[in-house]
Amino acid sequence: MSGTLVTSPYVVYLLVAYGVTTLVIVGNIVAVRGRLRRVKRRMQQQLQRRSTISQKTVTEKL
Amino acid sequence: MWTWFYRLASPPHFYALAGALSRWFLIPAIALMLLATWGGLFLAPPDYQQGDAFRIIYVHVPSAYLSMMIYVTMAVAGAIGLIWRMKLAHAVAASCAPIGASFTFAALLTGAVWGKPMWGTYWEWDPRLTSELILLFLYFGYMGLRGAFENLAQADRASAILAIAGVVNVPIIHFSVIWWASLHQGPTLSKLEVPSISGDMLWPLLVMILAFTLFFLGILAARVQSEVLEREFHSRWAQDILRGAEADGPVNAVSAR
Repeated sequence: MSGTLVTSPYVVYLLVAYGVTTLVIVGNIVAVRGRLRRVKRRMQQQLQRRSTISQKTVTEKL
Repeated sequence: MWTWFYRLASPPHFYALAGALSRWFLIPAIALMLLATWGGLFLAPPDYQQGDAFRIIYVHVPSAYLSMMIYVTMAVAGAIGLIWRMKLAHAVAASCAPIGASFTFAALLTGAVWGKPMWGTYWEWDPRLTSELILLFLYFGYMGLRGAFENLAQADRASAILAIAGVVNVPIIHFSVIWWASLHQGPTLSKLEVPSISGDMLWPLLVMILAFTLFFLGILAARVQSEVLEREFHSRWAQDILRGAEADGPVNAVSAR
């Protein structure tokens, strides 16, 4: 921050306001990436489980 | 035009488009945010009454604007989903809620931090502050209601009705400073006359509002992507994508499409 801002009596309020906003922005990015990853992993596990079950059924029938 | 609209509403088409849209929106959004932060903190002159505390405007106003804009988007998407039974519209509405709630929280918190040095208090049961708090509860209620249903179609319908009913709160937030005596300052930008803010202070605010809007669109596109994949799990195209992802590595294959 520039010299005048650092010595400003409002610097703490500015830091808190910009800090909270940065957290919200970063949090949104992290949350959306994590969600996509989780959804894909869960769906892949379900697909694998399904294919294992169908393979077992085929083996049992044989 | 209608062909384009119908194609856009098709989940596999939208899924592919959303991945690209997310990057196209997020990269300029972050660049514009940095530019506006630099302009707002270092180039704009201090306010003659509020001093440097006024610089909170560059994060407070865009957050508050997004909180209302996202709610309207959510209600419109919910209405489209209800009327035209478009599944993608419900996915958009559901994806809006957590983003909207986070920016409403940011608007309330940055407003409280601005209120302390200007009004001498973090919180006052003022019409603008109270109606914004109600907006946060509406977002929580929307998400809670969705989570309460096992059946997705029922969750979509009930939450769309809540979103449409709650949209009445948005004009109340906007006009509260005009309709009632309020501690909160009146409109600065949305007046019919010239905005009551000087040009050096105005441009970082406008750039930040644009950056926040692009950021919302980018995050929304990415959220709708995962929502669509979850909803369309039983369809062949989604399973093909997941099988492709499995072959290429657990996570990266779909985002690389």
